[in-house]
Amino acid sequence: MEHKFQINLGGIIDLLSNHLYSSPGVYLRELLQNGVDAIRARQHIDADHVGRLRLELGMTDDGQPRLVFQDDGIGLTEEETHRFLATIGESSKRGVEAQRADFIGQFGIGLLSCFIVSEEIVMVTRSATSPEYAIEWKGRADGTYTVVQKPGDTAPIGTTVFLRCKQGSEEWFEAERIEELVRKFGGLLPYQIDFVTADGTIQVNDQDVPWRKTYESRSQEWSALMDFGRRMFNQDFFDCIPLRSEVGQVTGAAYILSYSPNPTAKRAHRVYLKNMLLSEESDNLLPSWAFFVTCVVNTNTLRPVASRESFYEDETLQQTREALGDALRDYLIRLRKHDPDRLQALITLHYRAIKALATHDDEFYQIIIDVLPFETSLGRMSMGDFRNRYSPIRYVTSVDTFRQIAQVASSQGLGIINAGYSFDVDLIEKLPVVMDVEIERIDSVDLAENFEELMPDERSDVFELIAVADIALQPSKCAADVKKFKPVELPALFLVNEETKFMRNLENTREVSNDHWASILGSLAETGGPKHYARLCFNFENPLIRKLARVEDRKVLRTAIQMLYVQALLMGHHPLSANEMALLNTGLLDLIDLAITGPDEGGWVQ
Amino acid sequence: MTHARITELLESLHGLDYPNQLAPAEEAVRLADQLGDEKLAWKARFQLLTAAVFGGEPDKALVTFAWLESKSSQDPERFPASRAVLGLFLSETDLLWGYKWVGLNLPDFVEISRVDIEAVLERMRVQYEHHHISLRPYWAAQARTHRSLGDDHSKTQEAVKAFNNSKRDAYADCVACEWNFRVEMELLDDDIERALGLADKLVDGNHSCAEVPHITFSSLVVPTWRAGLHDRARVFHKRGYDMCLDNKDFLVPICEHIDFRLLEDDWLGAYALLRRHAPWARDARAGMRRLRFLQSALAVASLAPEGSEFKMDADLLTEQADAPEPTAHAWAPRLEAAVSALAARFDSRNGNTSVSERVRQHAEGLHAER
Repeated sequence: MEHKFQINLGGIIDLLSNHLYSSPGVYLRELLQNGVDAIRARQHIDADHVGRLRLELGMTDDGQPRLVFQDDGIGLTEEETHRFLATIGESSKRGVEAQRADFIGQFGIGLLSCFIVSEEIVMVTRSATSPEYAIEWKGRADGTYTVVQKPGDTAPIGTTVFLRCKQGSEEWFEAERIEELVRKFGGLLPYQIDFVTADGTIQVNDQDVPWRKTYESRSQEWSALMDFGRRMFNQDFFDCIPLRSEVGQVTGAAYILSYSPNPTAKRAHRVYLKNMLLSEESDNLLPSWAFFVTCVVNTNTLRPVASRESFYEDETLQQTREALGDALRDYLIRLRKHDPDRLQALITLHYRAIKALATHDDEFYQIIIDVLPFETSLGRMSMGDFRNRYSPIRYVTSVDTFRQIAQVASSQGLGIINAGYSFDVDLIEKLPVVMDVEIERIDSVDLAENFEELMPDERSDVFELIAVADIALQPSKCAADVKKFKPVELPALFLVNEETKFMRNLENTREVSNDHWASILGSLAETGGPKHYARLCFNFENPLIRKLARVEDRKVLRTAIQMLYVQALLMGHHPLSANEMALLNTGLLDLIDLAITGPDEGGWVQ
Repeated sequence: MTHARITELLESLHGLDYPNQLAPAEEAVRLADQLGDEKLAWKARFQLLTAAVFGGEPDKALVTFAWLESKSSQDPERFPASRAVLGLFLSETDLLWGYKWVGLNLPDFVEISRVDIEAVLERMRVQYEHHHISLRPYWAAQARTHRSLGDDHSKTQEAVKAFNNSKRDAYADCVACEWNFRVEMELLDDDIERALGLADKLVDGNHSCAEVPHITFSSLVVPTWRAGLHDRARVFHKRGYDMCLDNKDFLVPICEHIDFRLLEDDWLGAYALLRRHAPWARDARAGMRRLRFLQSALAVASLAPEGSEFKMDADLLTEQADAPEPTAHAWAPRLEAAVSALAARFDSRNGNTSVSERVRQHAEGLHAER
């Protein structure tokens, strides 16, 4: 036997108000939306119909606030009233009607949202297709409704909704709040919206929409757009860019922020769907790199998701996003050609976003790469300036590595770019592909290749030092070497590359892993072998190292080497493993002991 | 100060794309380790795990997961594997989720034995059962692992069947990922029609996540072209490549796009993609990812027009190898040797010849269709 679900209307309303809709204020959006769709439906049968919306705030006889919302749209017949207002989820815009591209609503639950603020909805409607008499529909929050014919009623064609404020919803019936919300949701609607209160009547959507107008000059259009943006977002912008896309039928403007935004911060794009505000937080309309602008746009064809805060990620959206991205990109290219100073100012604010674009657009990359700034061992510098001084372009891929070797590199007269920040590696590694420029990724191991080798007699002086160090550092998978380099104050440098760093991390983890994972990590480590050892490079220019090379007491030598190793690790910001912590502890105590015991008894450094 | 810096670093991750999360997450872990604050190190490593998995560093994910799992097994009170109750509760620090990610990538490392791979999956099963969580993700991981290890196809099919018979709970993959899994399995059965039917669910973008439909569109490019649906394949290529181009986690999907351009007789286009993404392959420690790229590189080199230039980093071949002359003619035999050697290592690990066989079919397919 077949049964039917029972729907708890109160529960549905709770769901709408607490989960689907972000605020009770959306009841105004839904009313506006229904009104606009009704006007558009009427315009399909009467092309000359202008369309108008009216809100009137008053009081009921018992002193409760009451809002009357009126449209002069197509209205509903009695049959339509039963069909559309008695079945949740049924919309007058379904089926053939839904094919019309100019309707906003599509979920058929709009009027229900009024129950969030009112116990009862009264709707009086007269259909343009059968205007003989008006219909009055009364719906209550308990799910019951009545429909009566009103033969004598003089209601005009269209629909009027009467809402009596329910207890606790008073704030949503305050005149200021209603005006603010109607302006917010319907400020761009092309139909006049009047709001009547005890203080008189105002037109809520009195603002010019700049992209619906034509201008005599670009500067006029620019001024209008800037002014519009300033009023809409209540802030000044660096610049603005008109947006237009055939796909998605998008019009609007992008405003360049006058400050450097955090790339991780969510952009608040204001998006209108058929001139009704869809979202103030839409985040998927523009390419991900466009985090330096905030937009206001209207679209006529994109499909909103049910929460109405973004669009379905379909092909139309993809193409729209590309078209809008192209508009921003073309603007940047125009600046590069015609206004380099302005571009420079913009790069100072928004280089991250511009770098993001350059990473996946080769043509733009070629145009812009030389003016983009990078951190180098000689300070901040544009790629163009750096390229003029150095070839090949040497770079490191992590901020840590840069910190470890920048000072040493500049002492050797080497220019190195720190590509450890977002997008920089990708940008530099595109140089040979897109511009045929030679690049060289380096790390501290490569850097040491440039250090001066020891003379043969000096090499024999350090033979013992290297031999003892190799044995002392073997458990840490580190090999020793001695070279000459600057600055002389630096006794030793711990040399790692990405591979040895990974292996070091793997070994440290293996030390603390359970048997199961120690076995797996061991398998990975086996492929390493001595070629993946890190290196401790002693500096023969350093007086301490020269002294150390003469130490004969093996225990002292070994302890000193281990301590220099730990010190080099700390200098390079490398975390110490448990074994290295133990080395530090015992080594320090041994050295103190030796210092106290003195050179006569302990063979201390001469 | 350091505590505050770690918190700042971890908070900075929100909103960054995964590849750009790696450096700050690693820094946070390093600082937490230096501080000796294990709780903070535990939390930071979960962030690093996510960034590494989705930012294309499966090796770092593996090491990170090893630390987490070991900590949890050594001190389960302080570092619980999960706070799930009847499979309903998820927290940001949940090891059970990590098994899916790390388990899947293990076969990509030629150094890791079959025994160890199977043991990790078994630990996953035991943990899921212990926490009363549906084995649905386990069976998906099983199916993929059988495929990766070149096991008898019936084993994969059995795992898919078990997957279908398991219920979804909070630990199931997202809907988009599950659709993608189904597409993968249909492609494995060479049923392009069914695969395309399933992929339709993803085309409109109603279901998507960090990896889907990126990998789905990419995996469909070549089979769709081969089925004669060239226009549709071009759409998959355009949309799929655009989604994959910024993240080295998509190295293998990128190879599908390189192959597609060869099929489309666009040698220069294939070579441009190859050069652009070569640094990803050079850095890939997971042998299977590197092998897949080398296969495409070999195809590009061997199908090059006479006298074509071919520049590539010699590190792609084997470390410390001398770079061949920058011509396709000189590179092709070197690439072929590198592909064969690596495939043989995988075969030896797997105990069959499935990888070499796959390599052969790949090369023959591209040559035959040109």
